[in-house]
Amino acid sequence: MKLAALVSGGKDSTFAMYKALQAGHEVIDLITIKSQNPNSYMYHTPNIHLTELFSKASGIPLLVEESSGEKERELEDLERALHKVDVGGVVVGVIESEYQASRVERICKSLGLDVYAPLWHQDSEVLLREMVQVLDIRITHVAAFGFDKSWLGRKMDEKTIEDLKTLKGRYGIHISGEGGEYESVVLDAPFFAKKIELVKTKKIWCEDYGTLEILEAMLRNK
Amino acid sequence: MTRRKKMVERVKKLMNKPEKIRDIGIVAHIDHGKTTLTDSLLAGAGIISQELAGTQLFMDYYELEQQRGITINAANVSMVHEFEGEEYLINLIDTPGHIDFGGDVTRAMRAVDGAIVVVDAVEGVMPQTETVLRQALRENVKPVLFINKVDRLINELKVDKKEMQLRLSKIIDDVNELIKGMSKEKYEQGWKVDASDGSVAFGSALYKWAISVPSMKQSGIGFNEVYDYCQKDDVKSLAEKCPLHQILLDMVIPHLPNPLEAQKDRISVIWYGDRKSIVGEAMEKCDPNGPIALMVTDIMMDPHAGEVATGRLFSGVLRRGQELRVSGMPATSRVQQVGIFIGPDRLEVEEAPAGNIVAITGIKDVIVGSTISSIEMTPFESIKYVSEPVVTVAVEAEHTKDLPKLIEVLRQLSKEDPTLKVEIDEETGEHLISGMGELHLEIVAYRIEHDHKIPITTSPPIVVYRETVQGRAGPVEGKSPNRHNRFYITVEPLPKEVIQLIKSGAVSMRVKELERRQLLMDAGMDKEEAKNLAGIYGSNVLLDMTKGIQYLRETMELILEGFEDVMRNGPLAKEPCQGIKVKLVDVKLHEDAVHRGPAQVIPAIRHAIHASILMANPAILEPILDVYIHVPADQMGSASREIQGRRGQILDVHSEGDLVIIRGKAPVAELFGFAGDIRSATEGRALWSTEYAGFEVLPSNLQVDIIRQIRQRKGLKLEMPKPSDYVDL
Repeated sequence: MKLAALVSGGKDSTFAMYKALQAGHEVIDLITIKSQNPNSYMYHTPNIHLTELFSKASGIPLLVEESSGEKERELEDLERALHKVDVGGVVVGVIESEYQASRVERICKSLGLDVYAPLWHQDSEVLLREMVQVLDIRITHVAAFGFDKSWLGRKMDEKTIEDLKTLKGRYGIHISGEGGEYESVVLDAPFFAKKIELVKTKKIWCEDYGTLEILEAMLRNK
Repeated sequence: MTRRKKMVERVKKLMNKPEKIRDIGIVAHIDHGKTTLTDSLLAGAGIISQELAGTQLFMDYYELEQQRGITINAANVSMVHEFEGEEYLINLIDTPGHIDFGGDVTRAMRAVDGAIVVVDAVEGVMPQTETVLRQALRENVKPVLFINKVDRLINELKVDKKEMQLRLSKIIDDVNELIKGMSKEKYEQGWKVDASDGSVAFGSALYKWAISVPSMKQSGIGFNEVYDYCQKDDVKSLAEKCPLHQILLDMVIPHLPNPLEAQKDRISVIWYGDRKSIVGEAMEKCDPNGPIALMVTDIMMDPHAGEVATGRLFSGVLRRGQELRVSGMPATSRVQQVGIFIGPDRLEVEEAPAGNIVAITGIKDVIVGSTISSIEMTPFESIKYVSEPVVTVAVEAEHTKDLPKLIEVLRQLSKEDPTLKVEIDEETGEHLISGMGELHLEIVAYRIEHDHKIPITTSPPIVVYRETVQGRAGPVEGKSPNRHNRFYITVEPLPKEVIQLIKSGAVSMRVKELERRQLLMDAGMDKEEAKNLAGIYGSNVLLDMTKGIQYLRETMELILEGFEDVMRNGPLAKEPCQGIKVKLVDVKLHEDAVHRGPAQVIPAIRHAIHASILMANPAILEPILDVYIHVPADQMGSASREIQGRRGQILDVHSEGDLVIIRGKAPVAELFGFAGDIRSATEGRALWSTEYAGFEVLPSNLQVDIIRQIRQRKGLKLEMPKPSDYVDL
């Protein structure tokens, strides 16, 4: 089936897209919703500009839809974007957020589109272990008690997963970051022709949350 | 030894006859002669020799207690006394008088039904007399009075016969005034002490003589005769003619209740369960056929038997091998030994029935205050402590290899002594122990080194401070790290009356809601607020003033966790908070449960409360002690200077014969080393004592310095914290 992938450039949307490709689907469009609201319930906001490089690296065209970020109105923006593509379904990286899943499903249903959510209700730890095998993931934002500045820019690997599990035990975080505990960016994936390189970044830390702002990035041959 | 064996047999026989048992304690102001009295009673009962009593300090069996001449732990003993041709069993608990050990007194009061209040004839009623009397009355423990050191009036103050009588009746009046003030109801019910009905005795614990109105009729020895004997310095004949133990135990038996009478009245005060339940009825009847119901008042480590739990058995018969449960613990454990006390010796017995003070081993996870029972039952109300820990020291094992052992010992010590608080500083890894005073902690350190053979180093004592607010602030918005949840908080000072209710234990989350609401409203709390009490921590409250917010119920537990965390570690210097009313006025929650987990809600709440406190004119409070000094008139100046030089205040000075009694108060922080200084300032002629007097606001010129000092010690940032550190403003 021809699919559009809803991507943020982070690990879950990228891994969902990878799963779709592996299952023999064809991803012909990438959709990114650029929200004005940094605290949107729906969309991933840090470093969303990186999806352009993501598009170039994977060779799949990108559709960027601007959104006001107002709660619930945000969904109309997604609907508008989906009208612009000619596909049979949408691939999304949602794992546990009922809020996101139910809303995407409602819109797709009204447009007669299938929702392809390969990660839905999968075991988070198993997923993470699979992801770090095939993706180069960096942590770009943390927002939960227990994280500190050292997490910003960190590459996800087995050790990272163990540390996340410790935080889960101690503070009850979700290890995939489904509760907004952290956000990530993917620099390389099996379906990338080139990989992304971060040239210039800046760490911004507030009392208990922080962001790795990516000021400059470029593509490099693998 | 054979005499002792005989005694044991008699004790065992009497244990089964509750109407022949008296469970009593002896309470007094420090140095008024409690332990000496206990020794003399034991000597009279043939447990220790007459000659040694008074100097042996039998109940002070802890080596350090004998060295220092003070009692540290409450100790237990059983003895037999003959009264009007019948034998009675007296179970006696000795309690410490030093303020640093107040917790032991409170615990002992739970186990006994009556108390001998000892007052020094020269010093009269003292502050701790009031404290211990209050503790007794609160636990529904009936008092009788023994006025001690009467010979000092005659030989030292050289008062005449008339003056002596006047002084003695003044003491009786003072004690009755206290009883009346604490409980008018009981005073009128016959708890008034009265020389004419025999509930007051006079004498000398050291010289082992005493008289009372009933004894005067029998022996013909009255005040006139006593006066003459004392003047002739012939106390020996006096002790032969009116032996102390005889007169005192003759006073105890008719005037203090047996367990059958006492439990009928006391169960409702010390137990909040359903009195119509099986265990409730059994306890009121002190029924040996009922289920086991034991209240633990003391835990000690025995090198051979392990943990020994001592307590009062209110119902049932304890036997070896019984499977018993400890309140709050899931598993049952098996009784290994049942014992009673004869001085320092625990004597194993086959069984011990309701109404006795007993010791058992083999029960796991038991702490002081635990309820041990054979069936599921409402636990006894936890024992309330009058004072709070005010001093902390850091302890470190000298050799790293001892660290695991030290941790184990500290855990054990805090189990034995609930007024001792042990914490680990997570940042520095230090072990901090907090207690009732400098002396209390010195003793703990001594026990670690001496009994447990772990060489340690201790830091100089550190004062425990509190944080509070003097104004109101808010609503302040606290955001979760993921920005999806918001909490709106206001803070303000909690009225004194409400703080009092919480500290006294009258209001707690365990009290039924309607009852609690009424109490709070009577103390002046707004009806709406009283209705919305969501949590209590220390003397702080959390009120949930929101209405109809979805998902709030399931999030409340996390909110409480955040609240408690701040109340333990205030924003100024991570000291515990006191007297703060925290109101949750509005909440916005993410509708997805995964977005409002503990790592989001707890920090959001914490930030909001931290910032609100910082905006509400926060202040550090310091612990204060009332100081009482008895000193010869010519030393008065030097003694008062010792208080005034310590940021102290003299509240009252009056003279008593050639002695001057100074009442003052001073901060704990300034009283370190007071013992040595006052000794040298007055050539060792001052007698002094202190009493916990609560927390007061630290003078404003010291606030910043002290906050910085604490922050430095705790490894926190030195800058003063600002609200903007926690929330966006």
